Amino acid sequence: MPEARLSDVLPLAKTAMAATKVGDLRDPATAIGPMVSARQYDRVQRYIRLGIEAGATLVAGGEGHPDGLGGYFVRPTLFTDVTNEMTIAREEIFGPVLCILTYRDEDEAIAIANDTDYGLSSYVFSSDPAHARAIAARLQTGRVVINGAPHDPLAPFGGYKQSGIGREYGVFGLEAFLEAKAVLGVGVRHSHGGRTRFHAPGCLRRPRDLCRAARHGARRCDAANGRLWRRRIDHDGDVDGVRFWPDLVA
Amino acid sequence: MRIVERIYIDGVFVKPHGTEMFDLFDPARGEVIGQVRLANAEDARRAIQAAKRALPSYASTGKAERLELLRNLHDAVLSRGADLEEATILEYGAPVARARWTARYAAESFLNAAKTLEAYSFTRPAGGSEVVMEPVGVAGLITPWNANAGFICNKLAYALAAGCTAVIKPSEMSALQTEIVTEALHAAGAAPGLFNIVTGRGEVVGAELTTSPDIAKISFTGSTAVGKAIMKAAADTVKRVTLELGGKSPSLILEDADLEAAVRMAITAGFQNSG
Repeated sequence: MPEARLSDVLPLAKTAMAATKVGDLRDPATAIGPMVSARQYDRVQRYIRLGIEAGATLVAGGEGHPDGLGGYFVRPTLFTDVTNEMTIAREEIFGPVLCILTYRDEDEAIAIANDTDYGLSSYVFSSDPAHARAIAARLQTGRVVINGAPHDPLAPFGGYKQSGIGREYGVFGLEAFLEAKAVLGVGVRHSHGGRTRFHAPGCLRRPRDLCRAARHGARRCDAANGRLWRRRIDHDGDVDGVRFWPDLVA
Repeated sequence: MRIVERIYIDGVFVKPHGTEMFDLFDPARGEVIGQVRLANAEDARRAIQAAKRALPSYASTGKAERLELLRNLHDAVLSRGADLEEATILEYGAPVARARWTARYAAESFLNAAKTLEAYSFTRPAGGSEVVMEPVGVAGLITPWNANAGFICNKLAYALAAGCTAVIKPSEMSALQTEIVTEALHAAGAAPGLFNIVTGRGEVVGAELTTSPDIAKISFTGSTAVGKAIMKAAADTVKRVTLELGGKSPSLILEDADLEAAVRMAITAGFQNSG
């Protein structure tokens, strides 16, 4: 966040942290449950300790269990006075521990955000959509979420850099399980103007008609452009009164 | 104490050849609530062979058949939503709001894959040639404990939409949730071998998947360290890999942001899924 706004942000952050409910899993208002295992609990405790040792300041939370809770519950923790060199700012904690870092200008904000081996997601908050989009363009992450937009299950998900390879969800997720096989020579073989070409399957039924079409200005020939091709011939006029085109386009 | 001693191979629940019993915990109390018998390499090999046998006929199915399967799987998982929610609270420690969302989201994965499949064209022209998109083969799907049902269902849904068969290795720490998902998927009545679910250790079952010449693709979600190990192991057979790994996702609050809303949402986003 902007350095100049830190004094405005800290009370807001304290309020938001105080409102974050941890504990009773049956309460619909509870936001945070326990860590999954003793190992994960210890791991989060270690990061909180490392943050304190590195000189970061606790805004909320800290080591140990939340009041009245045992098991693998940890205290939702927020640090300020964090620099991007600190371990808590660099490594994935996988627990409810957040850090406030300040920037002097947007170039520095982008530099901090991109100075990491990871690149899974980023979040941008702005009241100006064009501004948010311009910042999004400079972030090296697989997803950029603007103003807390909800999860989109058809938009690709995956990471830049060491956050992964490939994407899941939607068309990208489907193609992750597909191989592309190119089949050459299955189209219509056609000689015209001294050149031999193959035309995409399903486009033209008769090579002879393709020659006639070519004489009348048709240049595109593939299944995907079938409609476009037909329009072009329409556009070019009456084609000598030869009404062959409906037969040609699959 | 809940004891899970079943894995799912070739359309039937079977007892694993593996003998290691792994403790399951209630993380809210830190107490053991059950045990799971872990599968071994032999179990993984049997699952891979089942998926391999099922591949030729499934890969040749058309869109309509796959769409019907995906919709049936959706209905089946949705019908076990309450059980799944309960297990996610108990075994993973998810707050009820999160557990409910993840159970519904797991079921909806199949509809999202169906929607994608319905609109997808498996052939397209390129130059004067035809490009045909074909299923890559048997997929190995390795999923973590932080959204067990969601990852199993989402990876499986897209693998099946593409015409692949699969062997799934969920986290051993999610055995109760996995059992419910497996029962639901089984109840949908899919052909045997299309998906096989083998709970075991990464270095045993996962290693078998990543090195088997019969697995064409690995889709893994988990840590960057394990992702690197999988990529190295998969290199020997030049498997295709999709890796969804660690992150350290920054929130950028800009000068012109609504500070109160931005701070609240940044904290909510950061604490999602208990961090």
